[in-house]
Amino acid sequence: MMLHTDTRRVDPRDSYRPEIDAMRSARWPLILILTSILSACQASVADPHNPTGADTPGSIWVLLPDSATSARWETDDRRYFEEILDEYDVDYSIVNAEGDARTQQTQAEQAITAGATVILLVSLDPGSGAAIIAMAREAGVAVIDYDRLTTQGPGADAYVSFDNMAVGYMMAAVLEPQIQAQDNPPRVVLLNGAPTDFNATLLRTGYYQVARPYFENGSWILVADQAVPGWDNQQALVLFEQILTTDPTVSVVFAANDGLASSVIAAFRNAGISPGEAGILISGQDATVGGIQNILAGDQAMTVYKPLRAEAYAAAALAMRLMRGESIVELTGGRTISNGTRDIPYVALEPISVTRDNIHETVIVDGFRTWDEICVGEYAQYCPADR
Amino acid sequence: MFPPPSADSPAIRPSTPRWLPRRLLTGDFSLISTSAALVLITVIFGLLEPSFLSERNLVNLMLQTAGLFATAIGVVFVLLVAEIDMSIAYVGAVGSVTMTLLLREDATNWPWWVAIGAALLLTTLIGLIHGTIIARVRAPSFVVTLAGLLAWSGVVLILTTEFSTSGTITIQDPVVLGIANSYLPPAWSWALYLASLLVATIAVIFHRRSRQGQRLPVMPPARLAVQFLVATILAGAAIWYVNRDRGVPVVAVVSLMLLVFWTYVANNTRFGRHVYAVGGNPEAAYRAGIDVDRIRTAAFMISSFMAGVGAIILASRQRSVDTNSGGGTLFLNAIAAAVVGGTSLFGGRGRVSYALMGALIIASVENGMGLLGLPVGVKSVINSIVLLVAVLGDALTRRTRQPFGE
Repeated sequence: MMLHTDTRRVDPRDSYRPEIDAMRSARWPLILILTSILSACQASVADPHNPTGADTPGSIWVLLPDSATSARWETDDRRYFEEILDEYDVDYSIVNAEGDARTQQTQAEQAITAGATVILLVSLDPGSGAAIIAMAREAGVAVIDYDRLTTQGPGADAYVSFDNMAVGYMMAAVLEPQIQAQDNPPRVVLLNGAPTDFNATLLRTGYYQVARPYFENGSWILVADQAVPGWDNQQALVLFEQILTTDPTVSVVFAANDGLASSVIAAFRNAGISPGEAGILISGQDATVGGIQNILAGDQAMTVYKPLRAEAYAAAALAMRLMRGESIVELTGGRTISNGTRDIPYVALEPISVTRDNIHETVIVDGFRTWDEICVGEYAQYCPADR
Repeated sequence: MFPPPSADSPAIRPSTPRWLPRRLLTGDFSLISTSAALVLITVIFGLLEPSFLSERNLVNLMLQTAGLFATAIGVVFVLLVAEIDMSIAYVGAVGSVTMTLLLREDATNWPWWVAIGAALLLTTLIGLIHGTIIARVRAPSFVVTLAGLLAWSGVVLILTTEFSTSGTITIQDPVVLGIANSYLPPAWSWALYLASLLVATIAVIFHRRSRQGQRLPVMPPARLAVQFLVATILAGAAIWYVNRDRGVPVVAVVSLMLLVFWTYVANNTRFGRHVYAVGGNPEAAYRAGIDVDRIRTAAFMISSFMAGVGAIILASRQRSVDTNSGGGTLFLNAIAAAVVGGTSLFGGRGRVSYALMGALIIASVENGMGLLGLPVGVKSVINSIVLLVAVLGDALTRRTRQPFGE
């Protein structure tokens, strides 16, 4: 009996064997492999819609880029595409690549295999985007660049976007008179979006275009010109804290979106400065709830509102025409944009500037935001009484 | 009771590498090399950009280190039992998002302490789930927590988009905002300084008495006095310096409390000794009667709990949570902080103070590069060099230890 108990004690299943520990040292390469496998599996969840009695040939696939860096793709774009494509009564699928370029390529292959006639593509980077367009062209499938221009390779059949250079231009142009009215020479920071996102480049080009003459004649002083990797707010906070350490007298910040603007405001407040009271001008983009709240409180000077429904509807209209093989010139008005290789028909949508004075007329009237979600807690005191 | 098998555990001093003068290294090799690295970083950035040495930047550094340090403490415990937790950043984000949702004035409007308590309870439960699967089912920790990474990133996304249309939820509770955005009045900071000195003195005396009573070796009085004096002067100088700016951040006091508490748990409790024993040699620990599964599960609970603490500090600093919470560089930086500090990836070797040193190094490099305004690409390359040097250091010290039987 004793002997029996002893054998149980050394039962290998019960024991921690050294070879297991040896295996652990090989875990890092495995992690990489598994991560890529898992992310590839995770992403390809299609959302097929097959309305009965669809009389259009083929189907439309919408390839969204991710869900984490901006909430718009899953909360807004997906909803608007469903609205309008249901109305057109056409077969469609909306998929999301969750930030992985290889996943997006797999999804494009699936779309082509499944008989897509038009792909609406939000590319993750120029390289993979160009590969998808080349693959689609070979298969006779039309591609529309949605919101992001694929800047290399054969180029899409059409491009729909807000004119991002105009967005950047608007930030600077709206603030220009107030900047000029500052008592001391304005000390300006450019806090740009992700260096890998072409839109961030366009935005910067836009506001730099307005600011450049002032930098050159020395009336405005350029303190810093930095990009935030992946539009990450947490990194933006540290970046701006450090900029503020080198120069505590920053008076103008061109923040490329509302998230970066909120990090800038947090950094100012942590440093004991209230941007609103100190007359510091901070731009933003996307008209998020947080952005509008900051505008109401006076900490953010403006945001740029891009009516996303209009963008999705414009893309859907283009897709329907390409699907039926019709001309799209009426939609583009003959306008084109170069992707570096060739000129692409371009539907440019006009952004809208939102300041404290026109919140109601823009985002509220459009149903993009409601007073209820904005006027929460301490922000209620800034809201109009008759809302 | 069970002598910890590893050389770096609190009871035994590490063997000195032969190529370095023994007297210099009778202390803790990792703490000395990381301190030297910090001095080097300070000198380099101080020369390149004088504002790196300003009182304002020291306050910044304290604020920037706190969240990373808290998260890295959990990483140290998981690495000590020779496991890995891939999910920390998103588990923490589940906690901070939950807290923020519970605090919303137009919805639940819970008091701050209930919301924080609920969030930390939730993250600890997540750790319990991970740990139970890993320890009881014997599933490899990296796959289980990788699954956790995917799952909890999804939960963060669901929570942030379900309860807000813009994906960003602001925090308005003054106490929660105060965690990372308020400072001690100078008088309080000095009172706290004196109180800490008193408590530390008493603790050291009692510790020595108890060790002498058990006929265990104690540090020579002269060296103890020198160490104590250096720490006292450094802390006093730091407090004086930051009081010229905004003062001692509350979050720095929180960090200090976390450091003391978890160091006590690791060094002076039976649980802590079991953690080192399990990490150093699980077979021996098992045969000595330690419930290995329970210790492993507990390590994952600590890691998730501290991820929650770290995420709450970061959310307070950000004054909001968003769909991207838990993304970004936090996960890599937290693991890097533990490893750069000197925690071994192979288990049984590491301290809570290593997490602090590692977090300080990572945060100060990031801080200095921010001051210099370096482009993103250059920063990534420099960060990778810091990590690589630290891992080489780990490998090197491991090799020098091997002749001594590790």
